[in-house]
Amino acid sequence: MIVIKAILALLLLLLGISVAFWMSRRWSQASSGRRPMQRHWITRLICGALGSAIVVAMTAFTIMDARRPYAEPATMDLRMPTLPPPELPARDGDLKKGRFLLHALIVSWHEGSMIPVRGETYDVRWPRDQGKVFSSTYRPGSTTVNYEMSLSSIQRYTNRGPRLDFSGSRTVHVRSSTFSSGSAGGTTFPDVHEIRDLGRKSNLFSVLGTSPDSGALLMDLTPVQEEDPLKPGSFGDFTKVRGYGLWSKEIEQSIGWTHDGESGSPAEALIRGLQWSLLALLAAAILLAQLFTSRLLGFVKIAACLLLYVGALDRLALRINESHLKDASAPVEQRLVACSQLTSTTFFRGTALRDLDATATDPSAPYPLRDWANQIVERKGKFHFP
Amino acid sequence: MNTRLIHGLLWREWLLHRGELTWIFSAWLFGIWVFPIHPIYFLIPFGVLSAVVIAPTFGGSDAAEGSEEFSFSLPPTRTQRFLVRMGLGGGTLSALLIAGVLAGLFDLPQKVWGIVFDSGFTVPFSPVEHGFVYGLACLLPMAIFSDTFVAGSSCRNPEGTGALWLRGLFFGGVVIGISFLVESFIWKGHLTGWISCPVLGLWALLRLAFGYRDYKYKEGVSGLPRLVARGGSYRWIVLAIVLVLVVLLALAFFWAGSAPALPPAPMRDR
Repeated sequence: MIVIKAILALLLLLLGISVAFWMSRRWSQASSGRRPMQRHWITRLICGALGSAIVVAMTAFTIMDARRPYAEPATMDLRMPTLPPPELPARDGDLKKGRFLLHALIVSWHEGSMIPVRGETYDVRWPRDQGKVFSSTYRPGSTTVNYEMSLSSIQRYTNRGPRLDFSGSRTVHVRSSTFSSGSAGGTTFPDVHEIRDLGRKSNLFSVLGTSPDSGALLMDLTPVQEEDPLKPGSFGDFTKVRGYGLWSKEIEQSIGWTHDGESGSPAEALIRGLQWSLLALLAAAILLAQLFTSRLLGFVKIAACLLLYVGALDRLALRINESHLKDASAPVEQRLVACSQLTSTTFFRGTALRDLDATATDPSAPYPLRDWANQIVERKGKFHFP
Repeated sequence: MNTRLIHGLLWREWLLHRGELTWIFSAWLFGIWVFPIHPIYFLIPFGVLSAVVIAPTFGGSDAAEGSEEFSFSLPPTRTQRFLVRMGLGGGTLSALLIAGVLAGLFDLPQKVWGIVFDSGFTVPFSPVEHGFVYGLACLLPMAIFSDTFVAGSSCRNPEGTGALWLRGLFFGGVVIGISFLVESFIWKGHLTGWISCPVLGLWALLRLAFGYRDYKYKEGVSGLPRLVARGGSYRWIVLAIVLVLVVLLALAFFWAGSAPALPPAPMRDR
C-alpha cells in the first residue's frame, strides 16, 4: 500500500512538473494569437481536467465520509439486565455471592461528542470468576487497544451508600505507529482510559473527518439478579444506567476537552475546520485559475467559488446527519451517532445547534437521544457560535 | 486642468502598471474578502510589499527607461504627470489599505459570508491589544510608498531606480524604529502610536511635497541604463539585507511591546 501511495505521489509530482513546463507555452512555436496572456489550450485542458478531478474527488469522498458512521455501525455486543438490580446485603464485609455485568466500551471523543465504536459485556459470576482475567484486543485502523481486568474481592460498606468496593487489577495498553501508552492499577467503576489516536485516518479530499481522532475506553460493572435472562443492549442502554452527564464528565476529567476556539479570524477557523483538505482545495484553485486570462484574478474568483462549494458540501453532510437524526424508525444508536456527528460541521453550527435543540425538546424522541442532544447543546451553548 | 490629458495619462499609467495593480488588487481581495486573514497579520505585510513593488515603477518608470526628457517635451505638464502617478499608485494603495482596515474594524467580510454561512467564516476578528496598529497598517506602507515614489521621480540617472525599494524599506524602518524608541522612552516601555503614527504621516507628506517641488525643476533623464553583468549572488545579498532588516524591525517591535506593565500609581494619603 505504501509503495502504491509513493508511486501515486511520484506520478502527481511528475504531472505537476509537466504542467509547469507546459505553462511556459512550449507546446508550439506558433503565434500567441489574440490573447497572448492566455495559456495554451492543451495546458488549459490538462489543468481544467486535474482541477475538476480534485473537485469531483472532494465531492465523492465527503459524501462517503458523511455516510461512513451509518454504513459501518459500531460492533456492539452489549447485554443489559431485564430485571431491576438486586438488593445489596445489609452486612458490611466481603460479598459472598453475586452476579455482575462488566461492560467495556470504546468511544471516539471530539469536542464533547461521543460516538460508540465497539462494546462488549462479560457476565461475571461471583465467586466463580474470582481472579479470572477478562481481556480483549481491538484494532481500529493502525491502533491496537488491549485491556485486561480481574477481580479479587468485592466489599460492601453500608456507610458508603449503595455502592460496592472492588479490588483487583486493570491493565490497558494502547499502541499505534506514533505512540504507545499503558496504565495499570486497581479497579474502580465507572472507569475511563484515554485513547489518544483511534487510528482512523482522515482523507485529504474530504472536507469532513479531519477532527482529532481521540477516544476513550469506558468500563463499568453493575450488579444483576442471578435469574436475570439478560437482553441484547445498546449504547443508549449502557449510558442510561449512569447517565450521559456522568460519562462525559468522566471523559473530560480524564482526557480533557479541546474546544476549537471560535476566535481569531475566519481564515483560522477555515484552517482548523478543513485542515489538510485545504491543500487539495488550494491545488484545485491554482489549477482552475489557469483557465483564466488574468490568472491572479482568476485564482481569487475560483477560490471564492470553491469555498462556496465546500460550504455546499458541508451543508450536504449536515443534511445527511439531520436525516438520520430525525429518522424515527432508525435505531437509537444510529440517531445518537447522528446527534454527535451534527456538531462536526464547519459552516453551519448554528443550524446544527438548532437541530439539536429541537431534538432535546422533542417529546417523541427517545430519552437517551434527548438527553444526549441536551448535553451537547449545553456544552456548545457556553461558547460563541455566530 | 485638461481632462483629456488626465484621461490619457491615466490610461498610459494603467497600461504600464496594470500587472502590478492587478496583482495587488487580487492579493487584497483574497486576503481581506475571500480568505479573511486578521487585518493586522495581513495588511502590514501586504501594504509594505505592495508599496515597494509599485512605488519605484510609478515614480521612476520614465527615468528607468531613459525617456524622461522626451516625456517632458509632451503636452502634459510635470505637475499633471506627478499627480496622476501619485494618485493612481498611492491612491489605489491607500484606498485598499483604508478599505481593509474598515473591513477589519467592522467585521465586514464576516457579514458578507454570513449571508451564506452561519459559522466558520463568521468568526469575528479577535480584538487587537494595540488599536494604533490599524493606523500603522495604513501609514507605514504609505510612508514607504511616498519615500520610494519620490526617490524614483527625483532619480537623476537610469541606473538609480534599481534598488529604490530597499531605500524605502530602510528609511521607513528608521522612522518607525526611532518613533517606537521615543514612545517606549516616554511611556516607559509601552507603544501607544501617539508619536509613530503622526511621524509616519508627516514623513509621507513631507517627502511627497519635496518630491513634487523637485520634480518640477529636475532635468529629464535620457539615455538607456548601462548594461552591467550581474552575478547571481546580487539578489541573494539584497534578499539577505531585507530579511535582516525585517527581523530587526520585528525584534524592535516585540521588544518594545513586551515591556513589563506600568506599576500602579502610588496612593496618596488624604
